[in-house]
Amino acid sequence: METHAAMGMAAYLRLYLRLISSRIRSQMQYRVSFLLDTAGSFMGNFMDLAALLVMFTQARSLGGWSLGEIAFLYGLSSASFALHELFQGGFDNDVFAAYVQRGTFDQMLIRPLPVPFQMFTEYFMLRRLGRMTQGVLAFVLGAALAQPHWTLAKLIYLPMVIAGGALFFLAISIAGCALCFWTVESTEVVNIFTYGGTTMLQYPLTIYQEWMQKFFVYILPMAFINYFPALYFLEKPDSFHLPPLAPFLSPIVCVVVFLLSLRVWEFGVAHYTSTGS
Amino acid sequence: MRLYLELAKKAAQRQLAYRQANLAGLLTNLFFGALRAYVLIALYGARPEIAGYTLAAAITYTGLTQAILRAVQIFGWQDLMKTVRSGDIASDLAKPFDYYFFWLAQDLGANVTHLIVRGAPIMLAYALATPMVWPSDVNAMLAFAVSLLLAMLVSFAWRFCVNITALWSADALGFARLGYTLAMFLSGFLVPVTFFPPWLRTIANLTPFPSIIEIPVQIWLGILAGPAATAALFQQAFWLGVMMLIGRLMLAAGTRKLVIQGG
Repeated sequence: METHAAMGMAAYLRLYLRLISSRIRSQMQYRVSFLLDTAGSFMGNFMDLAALLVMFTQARSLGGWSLGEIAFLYGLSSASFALHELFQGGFDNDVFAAYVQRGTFDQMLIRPLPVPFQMFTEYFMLRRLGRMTQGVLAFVLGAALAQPHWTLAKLIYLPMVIAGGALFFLAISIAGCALCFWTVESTEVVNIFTYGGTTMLQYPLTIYQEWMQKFFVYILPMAFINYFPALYFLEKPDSFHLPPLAPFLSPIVCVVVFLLSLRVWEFGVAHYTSTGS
Repeated sequence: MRLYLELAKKAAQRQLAYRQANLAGLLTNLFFGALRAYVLIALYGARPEIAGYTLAAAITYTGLTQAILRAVQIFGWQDLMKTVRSGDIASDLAKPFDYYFFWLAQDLGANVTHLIVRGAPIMLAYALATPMVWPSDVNAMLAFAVSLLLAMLVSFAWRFCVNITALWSADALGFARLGYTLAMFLSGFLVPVTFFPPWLRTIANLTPFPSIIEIPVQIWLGILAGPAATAALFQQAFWLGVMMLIGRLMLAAGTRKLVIQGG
């Protein structure tokens, strides 16, 4: 264990880049397959956007939001979710459940590198750029239609919001994987918060039932991923009447949730008993 | 026939064995159903009707589609394709079954199970939570049952075609993902085909995909009733015939050139 105590940040970064680039190179060996998968990942999410466009052929606003505003909201959460998917590595419920079942996870415990670091580098699907493209497309469409009043502050804040959202989604995936230490099999319930979460955030929070709104503002504060920041970017009134500072808390909330999820993960690892096969 | 029934039963039992997964799946389906319903409620706002759907019909649409999505495998299915990769297809082809019906029986067995363990509870939950549209009489109920069965068969016939392409291409999975996604959209699963702009509706109606979701849903809602419902059932039967024929021709062509690797 001395080895990684001695390693500095820069050494980790170099190792990370080397491992990820080897994963990318191996995926690029099958060029056609890679292109098809990327296109598939793009289309899969593009259909959500197409559904939104179809709905707006039937109405001019949805819950008081215009097409552009919803596309903006949607783009923010999609971009965050895509960034999270790209970097989640082995922190994917299905992938990780297989590690636990096959005992692959035991190998990670005895390697001289921190387990979360190995998890992040174990698996990397470049095809997930497809979803990213889609998120950016939705965002650009939203920004073009809604025409927010861009200021320097907003432009600086935008990447922080997207990165923060990705951290929040990552936190959910990590906590979901920690659940596997007890359930051993993957559980679709996690999908409610990952895929369900990003789907829910595609639309303004205020259209949902009150208990759902409260849950996602105060208990699992996913509203900070895109909803509150979008209110700031688009200069829309806050129906929750939180302090005016609320939209700026997003990155802090996201980082805190992320750190909490790592604690849950550590707790899970401490309770892990191998399947033994 | 008995053998195929046995296959279907085995597939159903396999599906029932995953109790925790079935429950988790049910919760997920319900959560997504609720999300979709709230989006439509917001879309309707103060309007009583969009494209012939009342708000109650639109909410029923979200419940019904969530209830049948697994039964028609709207997110796709790769099991057959995997046997091409693993080589298991060799022993399956050698079994004393018709290969097409060997898969069809198992597919129906598993999907009828989905209908019972996932579909029924979802409809019940919706019924308790919100006003819904129900089939108006026994005839409508019967027409829906026939339509749903046809939808499951058309879906299988389409998925069989997709899977069997693995005999020709190692990239079949990539094509399959693209195909399933497009099919999901054109079936009316994400938004009713009726909501589509006319040009897109025309395209959708030239494909077998509305037969998988849109038609059974509209028969349930009573939007398609009487002669229109009968015509819709014939449309489904037509696509079933076409897709089965294509699937069987592909199977015949594929097995003629099949070389099993490894062993």
